[in-house]
Parts: sequence; structure tokens; C-alpha cells
Amino acid sequence: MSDNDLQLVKEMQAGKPEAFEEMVRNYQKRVYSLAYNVTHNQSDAEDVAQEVFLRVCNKINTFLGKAAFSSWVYRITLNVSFMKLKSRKKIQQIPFDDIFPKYQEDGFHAEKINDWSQKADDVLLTSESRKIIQKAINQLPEKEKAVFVLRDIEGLPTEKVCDILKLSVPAVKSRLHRSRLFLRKRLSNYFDDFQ
Amino acid sequence: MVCKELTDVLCDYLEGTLDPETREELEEHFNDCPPCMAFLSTYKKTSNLCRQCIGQTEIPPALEGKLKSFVQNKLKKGR
Repeated sequence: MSDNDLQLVKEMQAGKPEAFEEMVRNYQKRVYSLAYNVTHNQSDAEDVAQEVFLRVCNKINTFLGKAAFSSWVYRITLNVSFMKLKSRKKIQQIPFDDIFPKYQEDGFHAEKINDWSQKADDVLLTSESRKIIQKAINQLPEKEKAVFVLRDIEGLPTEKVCDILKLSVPAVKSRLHRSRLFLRKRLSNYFDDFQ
Repeated sequence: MVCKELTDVLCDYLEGTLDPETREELEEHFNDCPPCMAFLSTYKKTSNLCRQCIGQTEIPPALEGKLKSFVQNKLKKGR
């Protein structure tokens, strides 16, 4: 835990109002960003941010410092964000089979792999492609989505993701890989048709 | 190395945590295998596209003030 967070936690636990204000200043952008990237809805992300800071204020005395304070705040943000999603209409989730490429018995590719990576640059800013990408991310199962958003969208290091989710490095890498394979498959379906 | 082994090591390759020998073997394979090269490009592009499309979130300015007042009010009520 950073020295600054350590001091801040001590002051919050001592009940100093200015410490809570500083904590909100320090964390509001990160909390809102993560909430928005999970819910994809501004109003929901605002509600989540408010609820997160309420919980931090109410539960600060239960924080024992076993993980970094920032990991604790991220974890609360994820929990509240997923609760918000569950309170909305059920999102259709796609089975996770069929995300791996198909191989022949000799281990070589059994199907044509189109390189749509260049084509994707041309359609990036269309609202249709944004909707496709957003829908695909929303179809990830909760555990995979948490890892993908923290690692690939928020850009946090793998070790930090492990700390937030209380997972081992191999578990985080496995979930990340499955998420990327799933999303790659969904985007391939879209961009292959585009070509 | 055959194509099927690619998926087992791709994540470590991109994280830079693959041992040098396997990394060299994989890069040699990429040079000789257009389908695996295409798979690598689209796998990398997937993360980049997602980040570019949804990962640029600015907090609404009004919310910053709202959160500060919200916490101040809660603390006052709690006393």
C-alpha cells in the first residue's frame, strides 16, 4: 500500500472528514471509469460511484490492510457494478464453447483465418462497430468480464488484477485469454462479413 | 512448433513472460505460418479495439462536486 493511502486510511479510521474528501478526490475518476466500463451506462456508473463511496465510508473500520486500499476500492466497485447489472434486464450470455480455433489432427489450422486487423481501423468509429464491441463485452460471463475490464480496458498490471480479485497469476491469465478468444471470435464474425 | 500450441502460449508471449527459447521458436513459426500470424494480429487487435471503443471514460464534471457533497452529508449524518 502506498504511504499516502496508508496515512489516508489511518485518518479516515480516526474519523477525519477531510481524509474522506481527499479519498474521494483521489479515487473518483478510477471508480467512475471502472463502473462505466462494466455497466456501459452513465447513469448507472454515477449511482455505482455514489454507492461505492458510501460503502467505503461505512466500512472503513473493517479494512484491515491485508490488500492494498486501492484493490479494496476496486473490488467494491466491481461488486456494486455487477449488482447494478443484475438489477437490470437479464443480459443474454453466449456459451463459451467454440472460442478456440479449430485444428486438424496434425495440429495445423483446420479453417481459414482472415486477418481483419487492418480493416478494423477503417470501421472503428462507426456506431455499428461500437455497438458490436460493447454487446460482445456484455456477453462475457461476470468472472471473465471483471478480468478483461481491469486488465485490457483499465490497463492495470496482471499482479494488481490478482490482488483485486484474489486470484493467482495463472487464473487471471487463463480468464483473460478466454475473454480475448471469445471477443476475437465475436469480432471475427462481424469483420469477416465486412470483408 | 505446430499451430495448435500457439493458443497455450499466446498470453505469456504478449505479456513478455515467455521463456526466450519458446519465444524464439514461436516467432520463427509466425514467420512461416500466415494463418498463425493472422490469428496473432486479430487477437492483439481485439484488445486494442475494445480499449479504443469503450475505454476512454471521463468523469462528468458535475459528478465530481456531487460525490464530494454526498460524502460530506453522509459524514455529518453519521455523527
